[in-house]
Amino acid sequence: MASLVATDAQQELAHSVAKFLEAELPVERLTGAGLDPALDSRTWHQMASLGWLGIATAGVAGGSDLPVGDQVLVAREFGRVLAPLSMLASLLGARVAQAAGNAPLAESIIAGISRVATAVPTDAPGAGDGTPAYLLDCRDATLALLVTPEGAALHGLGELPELDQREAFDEAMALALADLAAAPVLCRVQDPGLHDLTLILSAAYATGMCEAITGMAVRYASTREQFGRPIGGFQAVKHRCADMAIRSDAAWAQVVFAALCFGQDNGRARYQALAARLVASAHAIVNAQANIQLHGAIGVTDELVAHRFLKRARVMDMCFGTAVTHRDALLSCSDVLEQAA
Amino acid sequence: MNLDFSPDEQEFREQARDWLAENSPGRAPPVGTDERMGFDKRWQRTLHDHGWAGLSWPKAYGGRELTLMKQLIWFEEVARSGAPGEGIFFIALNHAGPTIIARGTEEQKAKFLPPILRGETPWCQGFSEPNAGSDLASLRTFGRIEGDRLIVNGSKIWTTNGHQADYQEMLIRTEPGSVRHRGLSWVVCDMHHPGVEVRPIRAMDGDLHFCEVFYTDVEIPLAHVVGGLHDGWNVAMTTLEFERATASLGERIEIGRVVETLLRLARETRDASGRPVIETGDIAARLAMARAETAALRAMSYMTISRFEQGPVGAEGIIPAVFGTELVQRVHELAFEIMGSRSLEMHPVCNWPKRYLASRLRTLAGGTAEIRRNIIGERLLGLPKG
Repeated sequence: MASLVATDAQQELAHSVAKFLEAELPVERLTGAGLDPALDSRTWHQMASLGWLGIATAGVAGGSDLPVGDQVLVAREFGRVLAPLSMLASLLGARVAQAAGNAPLAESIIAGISRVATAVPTDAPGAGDGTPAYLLDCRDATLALLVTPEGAALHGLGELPELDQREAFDEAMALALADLAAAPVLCRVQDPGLHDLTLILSAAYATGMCEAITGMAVRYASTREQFGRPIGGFQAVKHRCADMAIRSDAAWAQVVFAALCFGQDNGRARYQALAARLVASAHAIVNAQANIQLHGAIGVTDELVAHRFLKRARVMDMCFGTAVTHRDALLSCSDVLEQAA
Repeated sequence: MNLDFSPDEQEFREQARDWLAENSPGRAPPVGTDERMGFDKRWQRTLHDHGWAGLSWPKAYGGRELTLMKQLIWFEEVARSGAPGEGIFFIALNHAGPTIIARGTEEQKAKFLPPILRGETPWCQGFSEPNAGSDLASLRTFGRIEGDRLIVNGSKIWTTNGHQADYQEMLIRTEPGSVRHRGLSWVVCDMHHPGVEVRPIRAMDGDLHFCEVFYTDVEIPLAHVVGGLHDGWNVAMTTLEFERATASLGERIEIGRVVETLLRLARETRDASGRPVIETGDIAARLAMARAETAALRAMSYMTISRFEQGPVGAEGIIPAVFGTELVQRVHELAFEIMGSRSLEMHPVCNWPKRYLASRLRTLAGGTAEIRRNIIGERLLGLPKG
């Protein structure tokens, strides 16, 4: 019968991913750091060797094409530790390459040899002519993934002149401005499903953030004492924590529902994917802001990772379409009740 | 994880869909309280006569004993068809009935359960008192034991539909000198008994949602104590956690229908400058989020059911309750604004302003949003008690 709960095997998968990340990529690695140290090539290859970059791809070496329900479990763990955005872009990029018939490129991404940045079209001041786009998490990236409602494309960055590096809002990732028109399209896939899968996986990542933030807030509220007792005993604080838990649960339920609809290929995936992304992304932002408030002044300092969650939540909300475009798209979908199974 | 419905479930969905298409009243319940009671009774009777009553109840007591998933399917089809919800039978079907099924004697079951399913006896709840609201365990209404009966004195308040119900599930103190959760009993009060005085309270939307009830030497047979004398707190808790998680499935699904109606309204309604309301950026954005959050609420219902299938579910059933009730309020705030200047009139048909006002009750009834957040914080997150 239908069930949104992870099976034992799925829990084991999530647990094994979590265990590795906890040891190798704890979110505390970002404390006081600038660029994410997990982007060094040793860690990257380690993660590639675990097969994580092939979970969304079938039919090539290293591609395991896990069910989407499994993929969201992995992406959620990525979000918990603020794993590099390029991991998400790379595992999606591998699928794009494979779908476009470029198996060698897919295999190169999965093996950790080619890294994928995320392209976000922009009209920012000084962006220049052509098709200007920000390249997110572009350190050592040779490819850029551009996802649109109709499909996805991989641009090769090799022929671009030296990248126009910019200071990133989220300092964990390198940021550059580039003219995508000057970066040749190596693969292009007309498949709205790729867009939906991207939204679902980014929503899963955002949900992992929601949950990690809740845990961080609850731990602090349980140990930090003022007026002679843990601040978590005060309703003003307790209710904030409860709200964070509510937002996390709502996001996760919707992510799983969307993942399962996607897996069924029943025409409902677009609606559910947009809803998942909108809810999870908004909830990650609000949770991150609440967590900073709950920590008091230490919450706004560089030495606590609270701000890293906020920055990543904001960045995720701008990748693969923005909340504005997603809301428009959701309103133009047909009535979901009419689509009941 | 899977979203596979069995052939049996799909067949059930089709049966429900076909039957509802043919039998749903096809119009919204009337607004006046008396008209509403007649409407709800007729609909419950129709459900009963066609075998759709008591879907969650055991077969032994006239129910269908359906799985939670089939109940959810039913509610999805009800929302899809625009058929009415449980209305005045909400307490009887989701609270009093299940409690009697779980803890009552065979005599009590035979007496009280069948008329509920037949749509004859609406029930109300008598838990809150003037000085026992969120702090329910401080309740004082007292039942003195005299021979084979209790002599009850005291008062209850915020009794939803108290003026229309035939029976009341009451939590009263029966052990002299007892305090807090001890010494309480869960009893059935016949609302037509001498000594029961019901005073409806007019709410801000003009309707009589709830009442004050006064008890002066009301005689209640000891045979109407459910689940053991002085064990009332445990009896009340028997169905509480289950109820939190599942009783509101219907209205959680129903909100999807409301959002779709609003979307249509926002496309059809024009503002003072002649522009469709949907073209107002703020309204469109909030409608989109309402759709997204409604989807999430539905997914949370699926998640809750999935967890129930695996074993007992504790306080986490409260999470969808908080998210859902506040979503209902946001949706009605949006409705009020979409209607623009039309919201200035309490119109008998175009009644969004009334529904907006009524929605404010949602975060108070059945436990305030604040108490629920305490429970989430303390029982689920392990934060210290205040």
